[in-house]
Amino acid sequence: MNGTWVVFRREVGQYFASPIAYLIAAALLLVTGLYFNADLTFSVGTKPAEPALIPLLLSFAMVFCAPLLTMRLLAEERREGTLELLLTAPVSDGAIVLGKFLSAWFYYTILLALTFIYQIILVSITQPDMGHTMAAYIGIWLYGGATLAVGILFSAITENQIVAAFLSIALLFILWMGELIGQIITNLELAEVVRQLTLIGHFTSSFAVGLIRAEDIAYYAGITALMLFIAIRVVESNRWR
Amino acid sequence: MNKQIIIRQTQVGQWFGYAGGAGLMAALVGFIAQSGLTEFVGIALTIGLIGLFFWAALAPADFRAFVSGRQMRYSTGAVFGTLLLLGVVALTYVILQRAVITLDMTEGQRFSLSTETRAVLNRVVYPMRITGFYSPRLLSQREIDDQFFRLYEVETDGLITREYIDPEQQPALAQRYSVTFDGEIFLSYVNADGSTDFSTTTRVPISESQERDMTGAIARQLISGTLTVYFERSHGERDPLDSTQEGMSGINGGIQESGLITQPFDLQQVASVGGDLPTDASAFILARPLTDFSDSEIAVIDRYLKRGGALFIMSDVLFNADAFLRQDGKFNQFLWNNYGLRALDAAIVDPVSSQDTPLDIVSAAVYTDSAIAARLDSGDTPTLFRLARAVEISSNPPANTPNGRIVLSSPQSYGETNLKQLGETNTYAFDPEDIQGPLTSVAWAYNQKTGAKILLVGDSDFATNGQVLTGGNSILFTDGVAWLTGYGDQINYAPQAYRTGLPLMFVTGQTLDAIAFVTVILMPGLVLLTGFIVWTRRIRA
Repeated sequence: MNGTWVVFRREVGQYFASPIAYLIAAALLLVTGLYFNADLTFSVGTKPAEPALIPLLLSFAMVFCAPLLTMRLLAEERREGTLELLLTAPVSDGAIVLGKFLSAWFYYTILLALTFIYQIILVSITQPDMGHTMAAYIGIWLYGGATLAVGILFSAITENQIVAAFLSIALLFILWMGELIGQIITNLELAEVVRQLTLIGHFTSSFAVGLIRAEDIAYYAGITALMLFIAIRVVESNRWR
Repeated sequence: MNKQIIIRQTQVGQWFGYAGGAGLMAALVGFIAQSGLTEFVGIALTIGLIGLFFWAALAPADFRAFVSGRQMRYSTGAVFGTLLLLGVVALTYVILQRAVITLDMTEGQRFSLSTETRAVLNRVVYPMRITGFYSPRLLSQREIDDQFFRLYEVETDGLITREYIDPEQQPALAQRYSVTFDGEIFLSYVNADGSTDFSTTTRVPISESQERDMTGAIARQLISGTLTVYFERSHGERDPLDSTQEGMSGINGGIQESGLITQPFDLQQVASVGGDLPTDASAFILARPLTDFSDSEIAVIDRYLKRGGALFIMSDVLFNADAFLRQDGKFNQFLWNNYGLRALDAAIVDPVSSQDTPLDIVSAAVYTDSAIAARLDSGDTPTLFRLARAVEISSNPPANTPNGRIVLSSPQSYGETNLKQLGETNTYAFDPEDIQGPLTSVAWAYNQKTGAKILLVGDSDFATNGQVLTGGNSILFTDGVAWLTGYGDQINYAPQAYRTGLPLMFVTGQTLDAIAFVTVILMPGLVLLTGFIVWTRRIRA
């Protein structure tokens, strides 16, 4: 646990010392801000505020943001040869992967917290369904964790950050396509099974409508654990390959 | 300095290996989950085998080492470990999915059942089935709906089950249910052999109030077949099977869709043999008889009312000498003496609250304190009567027989008593013989001792196919029938709506500009500024 903490602190420090992290945060806030204002202008006098507006946008944005946040975490260490150094340090492989993952998740949590400004604005001008909003935020937080874990896995697999990001985006995009699976697969049973496997399928019909289901929490926790476990095994493979 | 990206053949081979492994794993999961070689398993297996083939072809040494060398030992452990974790995750997921552990965070408790719904579900004794028709395109909607429908299954311990059918894959079944659109829901009883009892199938309306729609449909199923409404047919009444504008097939169909049975009744013939209205008659509808009733016919109605019957009378302004419910007629007198209600020989003329002509009267006031008019609103859902007849209620009704008004015309209205002139020349003008408004056009009476109920409406056009959907006409009819039959007592409840009544947003343009400034310029700008400060400090350091 101590090892995880050490790696976590080091990575968090790197995030906040890098201007890239601020650029990503600013870009995300700009996109969410524009989206929020567009919806607000459209909603005035016609419909109540959409409680899951920002989480729904983030569910798509994370397809691209998660790989950007995680692509360097292990790939850069491998490319610059510091991974071998890290592997000789008194920290376990699990601590390395977990520490890096938690730092990315922490950074993502900060980004998510910044978007609470929209909820504060809504509370000041109307009466939004805050319970619904909280459910959507809890869901997108777990969803984000799972996407980051996918990003970590691909960062562990390859030493090239671009390749890691590309592969992550490709897989996350496929998992995001679950919402459209019914338009691709005409067999209802098959489409249902595929949708059950996708990240978005466990968000839009539960968290995004204000419902927290134990199975969805288990799904995101399971995907995160599985991806991290494989990432740990991949890092570990450097010792015996 | 730019670094070249070099992708080696071995790496490509390894990626194929990963893809192959993932394919095989997906095939294994699919095989277990779907209990057999399904289309999905076949596709996953093919991807797995192709992946392995290319791995062996592009990176033979790597593949050999994986299969036979030291790598095999470690990687086998890793693969088994991964599979084990995958199994644990899948098992946990399935267990939790079946346990249906949910937390409804919505303000209006949209995904929870109200106590009123639970009370209705407690009355479910026989198995029912919710059948939803969803194409794969509505997969997401189906899952949202399913979360709500499964509450009914859980609450009734499986007495209510749910099934989903793809209307495109099973068009014959969709036709049997008369599916008209994707996402349509039906409710039916289930036979002992588990098959659907199509004779009980009803369409579940879909509105913003999902719980009210479904619970209402269940409540209607529960009372289905227990209430029968008879239409009198021997005095030239409006035809409940006539689908023209003047007919009443619309309300007849509506009554049947609500789970009530409708039957014709020949009062003249039954009266001639000294018979009675059937004992299962929950209500008796007189949809504008043209001629007045004889003593024997009145006797049939009297006996029916004395045993707690319910009478829905629609009476138009008629110009024939023996017109139904003429003011000095025997039946009108019977109603006045026993229930404190009667129709007047006067047509309501309302120059203020009317539509095309002062004879097309729009309800100016509604007494919403009765169950019949609780949903009527003279502002949003006014009733529209064409050539309506004034009705009078006694201020001193018989003992234990309270009465009341429901719909009134405006104070500026009057009752034109010169019906001869009105009928022949269609002219009218207020004169001393006329009755000064406001006038009642709908009234009720209830005998507390016998349970007899009477609803008297001075118009019948309002319930015809051409007029029933105008304003609150359909509400007046359906809620009138519900009050008479007691149907309303069995399905009346007020579960929450789909939307919880969240308020609309009203903000000024200035506020919108301020919000846009804060969210689009200030917030991202501050974050960028912080990044710039961090960057410059880093450079200086």
